[in-house]
Amino acid sequence: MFLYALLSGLTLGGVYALVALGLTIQYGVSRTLNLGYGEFLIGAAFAVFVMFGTFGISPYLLAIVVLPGAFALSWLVYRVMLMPIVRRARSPMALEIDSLLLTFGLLFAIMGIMLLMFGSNYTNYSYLSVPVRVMDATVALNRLISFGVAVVVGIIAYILLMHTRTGMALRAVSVDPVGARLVGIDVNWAAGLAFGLGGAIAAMGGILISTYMTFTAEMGVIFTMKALIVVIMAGVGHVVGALVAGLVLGLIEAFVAAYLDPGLTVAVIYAVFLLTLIIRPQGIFGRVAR
Amino acid sequence: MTNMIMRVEGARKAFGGLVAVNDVSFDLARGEILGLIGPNGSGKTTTMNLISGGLGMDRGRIELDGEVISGLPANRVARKGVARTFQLLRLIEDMTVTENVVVGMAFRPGQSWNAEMVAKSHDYLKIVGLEDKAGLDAAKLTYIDQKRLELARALAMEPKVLLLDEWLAGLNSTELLAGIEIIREISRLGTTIIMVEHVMSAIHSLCDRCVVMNAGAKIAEGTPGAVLTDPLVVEAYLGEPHHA
Amino acid sequence: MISRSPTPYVGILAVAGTLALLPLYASSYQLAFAIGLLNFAVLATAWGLFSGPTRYVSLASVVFFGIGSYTVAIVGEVMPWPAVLLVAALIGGAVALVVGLATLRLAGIYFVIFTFGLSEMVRQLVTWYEVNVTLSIGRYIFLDITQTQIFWQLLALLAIVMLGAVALQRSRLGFALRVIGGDETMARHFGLNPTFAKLALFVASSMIMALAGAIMAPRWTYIDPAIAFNITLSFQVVIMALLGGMHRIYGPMLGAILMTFLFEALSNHFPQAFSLMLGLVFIVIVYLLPNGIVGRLEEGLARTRRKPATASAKVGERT
Repeated sequence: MFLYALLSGLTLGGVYALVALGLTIQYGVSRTLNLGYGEFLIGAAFAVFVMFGTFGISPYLLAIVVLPGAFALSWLVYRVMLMPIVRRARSPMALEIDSLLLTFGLLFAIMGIMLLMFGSNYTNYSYLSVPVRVMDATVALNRLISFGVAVVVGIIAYILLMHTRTGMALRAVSVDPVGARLVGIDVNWAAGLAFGLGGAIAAMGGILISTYMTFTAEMGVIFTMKALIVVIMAGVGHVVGALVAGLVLGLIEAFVAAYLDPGLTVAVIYAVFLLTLIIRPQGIFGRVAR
Repeated sequence: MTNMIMRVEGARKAFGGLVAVNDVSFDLARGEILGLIGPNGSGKTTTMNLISGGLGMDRGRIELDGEVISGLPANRVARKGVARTFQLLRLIEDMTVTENVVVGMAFRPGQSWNAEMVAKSHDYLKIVGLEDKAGLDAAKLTYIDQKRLELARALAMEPKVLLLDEWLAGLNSTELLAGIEIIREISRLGTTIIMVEHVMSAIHSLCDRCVVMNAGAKIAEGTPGAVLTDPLVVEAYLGEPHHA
Repeated sequence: MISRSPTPYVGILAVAGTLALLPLYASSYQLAFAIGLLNFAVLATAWGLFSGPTRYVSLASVVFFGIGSYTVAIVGEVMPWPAVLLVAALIGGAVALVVGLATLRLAGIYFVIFTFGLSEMVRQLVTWYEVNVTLSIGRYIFLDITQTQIFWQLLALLAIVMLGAVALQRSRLGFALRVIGGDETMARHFGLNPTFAKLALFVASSMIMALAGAIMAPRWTYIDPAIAFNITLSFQVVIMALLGGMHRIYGPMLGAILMTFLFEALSNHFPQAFSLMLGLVFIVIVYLLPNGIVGRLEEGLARTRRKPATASAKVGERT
């Protein structure tokens, strides 16, 4: 039981970490919270479902098409939808509320389109669901691959952010947008790029999840919610923190399901979230804002 | 010493590694105007924030009329009788001038909520010379008038101690003379004042005493004439480059 | 700001009194529609009461609404109806107090996120309780309450909420909320305790929502956690209040009326397109109606008669 919970926690946590990573990049750099984030994940899951069913190509290979698509769409969302309100905003508070409402709109619009196309049924397909023995427990191969891919993508993202010029620019904007502008970084460019990257990472999460989970058009909100909890618990914009907190969240969920009650996972995660908000509102890894 | 209205004892505040206010102590006599002066970054505004409760203190205590007010949140300190103006104006721009003054009156202890407040607000506006603009939105006022309004709002609290944070900054020479007269009038009406100020002529003509701060510490205290010729003070002002 | 004029009170009572005659003339379909409309009008007004001045976007409406409904499902048959309503309001208020104490000190964005997930958590907790303790997931509500009675109760609640809103706007608490909404830090320095003021309003607004949920419960006959705590309702309430405009008391109500008609038309002709439409309306509000329809109308009016001085009107109240 313990080993099983550990393995399922890690595979789940790997995806949560990945999804949270994308959101923390978007939110950290652009300072606008995208509540339609989870729709990109579910959108990718449906895209893969359709293409896999039609062409029989491996979902992992389909990433070559889906990820650039998600990148482009997310980039457009920032440039076309959000930039006008960033420009007209009279105060940070007004911008915050406007971007919230706008991305609520995005959430329902994308969800609505998916509902029109696929209905509200549970969808799933079978790919690489062969059992693999790990020590004493059995895990489906697609879950193992999903964990592996999440780790690899996480490491690549980390290296890109920490060791490339572009990554440094993104981090600079995330830490201090005004300062970044002073040293010649185009903040709008950075925010657009961050939105694209985040969207692509969400799509990757969607592809991974679609191979072993049933999903519906209305499930994006749940992923947005969990990713948000991870991002805030870790501290907004904190890349390593998001990865760690995502893994921990997956583990908590798996252990609560195994030892307490599968019906209480959200409640426990929420309790942890609330505790973080009360004790360290800036996040576990976040620094106190001056 | 019954003549004392406020005592600041060993106040200290650090932001991370930077000690902004380091063991500062001074007394405030009833009815006086105390100038809090020093170069930029010397901890004057932080001291004001410690007194008004906008920031919590790390160590030390502040008494108002024999009651400890340090450690209280800003709203409690305000209700004990400390009012302030802000270095960067903080008016509610979509409220009228009158309504902004009512902000100062409405939450005093014992104040009842009635239409007489509107009438009474005119008295405060008259002191600062804004009685003709009572019905305008605060956003429509000129800079000097917005400063007057900040002052009227603080006066409306009927404070025991009034904190003025660079209230005279940014005024031209005519406005400055008018501003000095307003502060003198407020003092004459019986309010004790602590003012953070850079305008030396105003300090000379208004302040009974000055506390001089540098790098977070108090370096001198006395009449404006005495402290401004103190070699330590002169060095603090001239020896350090001004940086904003 | 301070006004004792009875006109708004009399107006509200007169309109409510007239509308109370409606069940005598309306068909049962029209009555059902009117009940739905009144319900949203109550919820949106209550939402605007708290979120308008504080600008905290709450997505917890359905939590309190659902609490009200569930209270009826649990104690509806063992207590007299007024006591049931009282219990519903008290439970809603108590939950709001706990949530508010934990989150209202935080920045607005955390509040949104927290309330966003709250309904999911409550839904799960109630489900868990029903599955493990009462051993059945749904509940039946058999109460002898007619549609007409529901209509009258909702109408009375709406009238009380509107009267309360006018009174609040004229009160010190209402003024305090405007000050807090303008500049919270400054407000503290003038003796105001912002957390207390926000908490008081949040609790009051939540109690109203719980009452609405309780009054509506007998319409359902069957409820389960997925029905009672469906987050779509929270979004509908937000969108109605924003569409109408929150800087006027009657704004959210106007939005509720318009949206209820729109939803009704949509669900008859394009039942599948509900989400998409909801999304598009959100987007339209942000780009075209930042102050709601009321704000747009007022701008239009101001442009057509720019001449008359508004100074004297400003000192008066804003209804």
